[in-house]
Amino acid sequence: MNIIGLKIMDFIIHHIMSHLPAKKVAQTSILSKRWSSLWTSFPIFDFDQTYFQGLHEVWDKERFYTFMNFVDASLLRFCKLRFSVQKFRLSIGHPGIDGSYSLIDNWIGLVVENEVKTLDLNLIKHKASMLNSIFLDSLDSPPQTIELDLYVLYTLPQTIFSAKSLTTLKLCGCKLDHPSGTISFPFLKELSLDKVFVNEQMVQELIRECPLLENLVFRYCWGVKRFCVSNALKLKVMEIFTYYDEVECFKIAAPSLEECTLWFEKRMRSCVIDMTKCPSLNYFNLVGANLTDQQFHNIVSKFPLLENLYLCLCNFLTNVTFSSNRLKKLEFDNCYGLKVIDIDTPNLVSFSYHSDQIPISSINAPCPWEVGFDSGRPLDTRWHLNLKDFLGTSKQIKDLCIYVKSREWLYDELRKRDAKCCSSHSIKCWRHDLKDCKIDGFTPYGDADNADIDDSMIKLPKIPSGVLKFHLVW
Amino acid sequence: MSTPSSSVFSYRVLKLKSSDGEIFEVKQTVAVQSGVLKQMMEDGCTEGEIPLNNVDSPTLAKIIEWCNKHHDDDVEGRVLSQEKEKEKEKADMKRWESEFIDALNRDELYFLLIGSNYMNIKELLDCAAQKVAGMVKGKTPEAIREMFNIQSDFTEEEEKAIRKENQWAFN
Repeated sequence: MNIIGLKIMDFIIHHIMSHLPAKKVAQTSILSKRWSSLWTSFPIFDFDQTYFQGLHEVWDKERFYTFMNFVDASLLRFCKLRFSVQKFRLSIGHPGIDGSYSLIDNWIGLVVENEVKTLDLNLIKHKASMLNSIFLDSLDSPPQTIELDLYVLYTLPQTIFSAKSLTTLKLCGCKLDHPSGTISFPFLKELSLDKVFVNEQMVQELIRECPLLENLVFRYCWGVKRFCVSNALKLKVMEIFTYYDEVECFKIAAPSLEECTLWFEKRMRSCVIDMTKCPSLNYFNLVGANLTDQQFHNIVSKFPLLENLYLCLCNFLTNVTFSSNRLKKLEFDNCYGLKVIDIDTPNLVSFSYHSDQIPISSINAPCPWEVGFDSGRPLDTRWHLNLKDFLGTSKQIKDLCIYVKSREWLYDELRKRDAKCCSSHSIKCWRHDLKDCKIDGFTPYGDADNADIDDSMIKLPKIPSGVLKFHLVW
Repeated sequence: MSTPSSSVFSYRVLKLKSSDGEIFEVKQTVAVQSGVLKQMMEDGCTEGEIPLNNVDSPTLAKIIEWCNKHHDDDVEGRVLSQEKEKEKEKADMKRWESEFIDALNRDELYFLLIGSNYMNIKELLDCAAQKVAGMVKGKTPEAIREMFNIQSDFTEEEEKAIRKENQWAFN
């Protein structure tokens, strides 16, 4: 790259390359001899099998070996230069991976020797032959759909424990055996274990021996019954995802912890959560935790600085009572067991409540509310009265969503709103004061064609399934 | 009456001299964003004019504009009470940054890359590098050569061989 006699330095070009996807970086190798050598000396490695083979293609042995050879050659060429490796990312997942384990061992050894800073390995072995059947993102597909054979999981070589230069370590789909010597990652700031087979002692030791650890992710791992975090003085953000009832107890003592997500999938039993020593917590996201009212209260009352609370699918909760002057954001998301809420949160800036039933409530939250109810059955007058009570304490409703399953019913209700169905009753029906109703928008589900929606209510029953928005004038 | 020494320090001014001899005055508190100037201040060698031989005056003016924008007069003293305000400020800054970078022509952008690297201003270098990367992204190798004024010194056979070797990147 030349501009009026000035030559842009290698370092700057590498910096530009670091913002490009791997394929594009590789393409720069044909620009000129200089760029070709810049590519060879580029210290960021992003090797992903899907670059060589589409996600929807059947696994092809030959292409797999082309990929493995490419990784091998690139790494060897780079390591001869004696530069340090900034990042090594390797993502492979397919049925024939075991034959390559010794090769992967070598690569890890090489990058560790070359002072690798970021190591990101994704080595899920799966039985199906399509790459896209790898369990890519655990939030979308439940973990039990992959048939993992724990005994053929790749076991990381012991050299990993001598990678003192690491600042980020991300492991997915492998096994971490106990080290023969001591663990020490003096510069590690970010640790992510995703579908990794570990043991309790190992996790505790890992956390203890990373004095700079700030960010910890622990997703769907095996082998841990008691999850303990102690002595993590710098830990700021922690995300834990578990499924079934494997982990029975969480004991987290982290004085600097600001953000914590505990996500339980398919949990049947209650579990013990001890977070008494996390005084700095600001964000707390709790999903699928089967906590009783008392247990929940005990946990939250230990967070004097809490400003953001998200509760989702905590179905054992029936009666939530608390007050906080600090809380800014509060969200109840489908906690189906909730019958009573009594909260005093005068400084809230955002409040949202979504569920299938309307709780009896006393809510002091003078901010705009977002409310959604999924009734599942035709709305009756009783329901309408409960809704009125619930919304009554709100100063401002920003968004009110009511999910109705029967469109014909809704159509009838909205069309015959002039009917004097309730004129003789003292309690009026929900549409009694409705002045006008227009269709505001429509988003079809899936690939269905966008229906031709105008504001005429006549076409309503013919619309394909999707989300229909109304503008109601009361 | 005595004034706290830190505030005296913060109003001191550095004289930066561009490669074409123009002098720019910059407050010390602004100049600390440059790793090089920060080091010089710590070493106490900022008396007189500081020559920046790799940065011409239009580029230096741009760099100073960036640093002034990214400088907070009183970071410690200011408390933003609302989360939303903080977010809004961040979004405003992002918008300003992209407008700043988008307004540059290609040569100005390259000079800024070199200048910010030379003065070690990490955020500016990163922003400029990201912009160049964005320009490269949708382009064919031929178009990239043209953009960067690169003459290929490969023979046709050599180029073919590299393409074949790295087929994955070219299909």
